[in-house]
Amino acid sequence: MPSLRDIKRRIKSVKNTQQITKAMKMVAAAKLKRAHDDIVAARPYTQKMLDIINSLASRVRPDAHPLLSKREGSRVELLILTSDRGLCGGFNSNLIRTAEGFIRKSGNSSNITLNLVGKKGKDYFKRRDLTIRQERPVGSGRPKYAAAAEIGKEIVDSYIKESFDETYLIYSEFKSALSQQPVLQRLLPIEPPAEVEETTEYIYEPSQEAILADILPKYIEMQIFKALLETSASEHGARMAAMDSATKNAKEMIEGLTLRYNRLRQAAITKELMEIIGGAEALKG
Amino acid sequence: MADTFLLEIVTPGRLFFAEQVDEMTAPGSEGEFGVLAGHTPFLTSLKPGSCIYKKGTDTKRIVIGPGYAEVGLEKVTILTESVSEE
Repeated sequence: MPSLRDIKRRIKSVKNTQQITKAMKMVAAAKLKRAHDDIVAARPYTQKMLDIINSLASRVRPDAHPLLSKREGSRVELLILTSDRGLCGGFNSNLIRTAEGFIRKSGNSSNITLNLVGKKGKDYFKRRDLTIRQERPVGSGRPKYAAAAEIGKEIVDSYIKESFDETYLIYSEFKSALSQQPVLQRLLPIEPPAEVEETTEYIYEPSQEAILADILPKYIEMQIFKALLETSASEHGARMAAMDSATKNAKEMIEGLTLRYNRLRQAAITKELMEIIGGAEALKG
Repeated sequence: MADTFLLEIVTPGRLFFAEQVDEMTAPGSEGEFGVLAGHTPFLTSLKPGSCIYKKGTDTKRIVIGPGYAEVGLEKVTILTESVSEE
């Protein structure tokens, strides 16, 4: 049976925890807002680039560029985006589970190399029997295009050198502040777009092929940048939700403990009174 | 046909610039080119350099990094990784 003082101490400690989770929730909410703005801001560029690629790729043969043509072979590179920090609910485990599912389905895990972004992914996969080709932390602050460009360049170079035949990307899609969905997407070779209805005839300078060769690696970088932004927003969203429920749980716990504390206090007072009355009765007699 | 056209400069981070302008020149990979309203559709890669636009009597310069320009009849879109205004 805990004493009155023990319960008081518990209440105080839970209150402290609640304060921390509340603060973390508010920080996550502010960061989420910013991350969401970043996603919106990046949209015009992605859209425009996609337009250009669609209009170009539908006019050249699929083997016009190594990044477009399918290769025989089953070596797969898996680019997995996770977060650096925990305390965000099932966010990282969901991503890792998606990756595990992919690896299991592919059967032969020796054909798979990993390219990890985020400390949590690294912490998990370094204990597994898989080849980690590249790994890096997400880094603090907002995702930067330069970081995406670096990752993209490295992947495109290795792909052209035929270190692997396909690249898949696993990231967390930001649906809303409360909903994040792990997504598996093929990065390379690039899916040639379906036939598009072409309205304008462009003059190309230098040539269609040259522009295509130039823009495709950029497109990969942009895809990675977009995935980084979405993953970052998802992380903050997940953390916000996790911290919100932690704060609620702490509140419930404090209520329960306070009730117990008051009951015990009352019991102690009653006992004391009984003793006094009992003593007085004894003296009278 | 209108005398002005829409010039948009887009970076991965944001839509940097979108205004109606009278005239603009940009550093294409095959040489600098100028655009007036009603230019024939044209797609080119860009070298780093300055993009100059005229709006009324104003002439302004924006320094851009490597990228692409898509020229349409009433709209020019410049995609670039970096920009800075002078």
